[in-house]
Amino acid sequence: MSAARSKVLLLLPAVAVFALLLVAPILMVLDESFRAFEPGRIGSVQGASLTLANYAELLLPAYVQYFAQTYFLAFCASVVAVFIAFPISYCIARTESPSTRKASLSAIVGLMFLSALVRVYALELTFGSAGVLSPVMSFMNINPNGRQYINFVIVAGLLHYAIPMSILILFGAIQNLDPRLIEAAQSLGASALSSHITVTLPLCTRGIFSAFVVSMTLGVSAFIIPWILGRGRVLFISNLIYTRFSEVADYPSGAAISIVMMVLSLLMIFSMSRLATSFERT
Amino acid sequence: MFSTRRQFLKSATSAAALGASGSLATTVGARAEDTITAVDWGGNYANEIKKLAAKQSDIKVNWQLHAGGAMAILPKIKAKWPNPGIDLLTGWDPSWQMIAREGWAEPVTTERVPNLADIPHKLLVKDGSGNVINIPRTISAMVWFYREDIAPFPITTLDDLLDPRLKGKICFPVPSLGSNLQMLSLALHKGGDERTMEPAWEFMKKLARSGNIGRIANADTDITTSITSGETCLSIQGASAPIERARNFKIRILSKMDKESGFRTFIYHEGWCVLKGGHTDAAFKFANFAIAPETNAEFNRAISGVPVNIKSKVSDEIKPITFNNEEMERFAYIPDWAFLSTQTDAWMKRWEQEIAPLL
Repeated sequence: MSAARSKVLLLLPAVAVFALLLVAPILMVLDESFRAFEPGRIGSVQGASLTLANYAELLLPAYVQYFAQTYFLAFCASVVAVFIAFPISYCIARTESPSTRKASLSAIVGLMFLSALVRVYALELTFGSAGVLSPVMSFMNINPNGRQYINFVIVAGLLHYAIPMSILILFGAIQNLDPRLIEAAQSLGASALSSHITVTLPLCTRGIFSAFVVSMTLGVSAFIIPWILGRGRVLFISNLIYTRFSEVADYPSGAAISIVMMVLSLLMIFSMSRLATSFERT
Repeated sequence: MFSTRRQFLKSATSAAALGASGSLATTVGARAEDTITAVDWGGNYANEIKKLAAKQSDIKVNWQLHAGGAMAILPKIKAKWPNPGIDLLTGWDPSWQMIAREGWAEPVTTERVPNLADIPHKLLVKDGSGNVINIPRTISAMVWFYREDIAPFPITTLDDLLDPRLKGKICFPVPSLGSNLQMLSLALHKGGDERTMEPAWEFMKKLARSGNIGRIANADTDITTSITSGETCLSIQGASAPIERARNFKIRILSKMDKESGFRTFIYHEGWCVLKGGHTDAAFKFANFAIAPETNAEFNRAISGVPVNIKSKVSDEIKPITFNNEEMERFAYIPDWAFLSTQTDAWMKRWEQEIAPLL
């Protein structure tokens, strides 16, 4: 009994901080999302009437498209990131030299410290329509002003974060994998490829899903990458939220978008978690 | 940072001494009143106003910069109200309207700002109680302009924006930037005005479908970067920026074009308001210093703006945005700012729903 009480007491400070800094602001956002907005004012006025209009507006095809676009591009970036990160993580985890492993991990962690603006403008200066590769693209008959091309550059921007993060997550999963299991499979006649597919990958499922979910989270919440690389023509949900709060001061609408985004993200994490569990069972 | 322990201790002691003297000064109660927090635009504006502030010693200014457009700071002020931590806030016509509605500004009088007497009264904005809330410092204009060195042909009318030769070469601002004066231009050209924007939306749809828009600007910096990098060649912006760019690039400012061209010039003014609850007397004192004839002329010469003080001299470089009465009639347009400030939200949503999907 006393042990249970101690646990509760130990948890109390963390719960208090969590409630104060996360739950309370989210409740305020939730309340704001149901308030009517008076044009020309900053946020909802005191005593503003309750309304569902801020949510109803998001059912318009244009907004459904913004959500779909955000999740689709984040999904593409996450899939590519996991595909690229896995072999790199595998190599680092299986490197025999501890110093090479340390140096590789330090380099990956170091990448995370590079400013977002530096990465974004580096991509813009390279792949933008006035970038250094512009003549090459022109020669290859690629239109740098086309929508698909802009989407490609945004995905490249998202990969700047998703790949290092996925490598770090997958590194843990691969390192925890007992290499004797693969040796056993191969000693029983499995080829390198089939032992990789039937032993390594299934045992890394949880890590792969974790890397994917974290990459998705980074992608969906990306702000500066679509803001700059999207040239204002491709907007992510974060950009819409920023515009609502900061540029037009329509807090209720911005709050409604935020709540919908949060619910969708929670649903995504829940589904991915279920999917990972079912994969592990099979 | 500290190479030796002694050095560290020395610095720590100095910091402690500074802290102690600071708190002593606060107790005495004299210094705090003389230090204000002011928010100004970045780039040239910030550099020049700091130079100006250095020429006086009565008021110490803790400078902060706007992040994004003039509206972006208003939600932050609301979140911190009634203690915004800002004494002097720069803004322009549309933001004054919103500040007036919120009742945040300290009333401005000639007793508190004597130099206000030399500023045209037409520039003063009043709140619901009839109090003046702004201290103008610069008259400027939103102008269309293009880079002649990279434009594929001389651009003479707004209809040229649909020319296929301008594929990907236009930098068009979103409606929340510049109070949507860019679309007001389109409306005026097609027979509408700020209250009849339908013709502008129709033109905008054609423009979006044409593929001529290379970048949608969300902030002034987007325009500057896009134009100077050569990504796009044509845009609309507050005149200071294109006038400054014209020192290094071959830029044609379309500020004095006939009405038929559609390239209208929108006159606006920038300035300060003093927020309630802070160091209001010191803020008024600094603003009064900054709008004196010489200081106002010096600042505006540096930022390529027109001084508001009628006793200030005007530099030659800003001729594109100086108008006599006849020119005002022919080239300029002063919109209904109060109305514009209530439309941004609706226009932005319509943009997201009807224009952005076409880009």
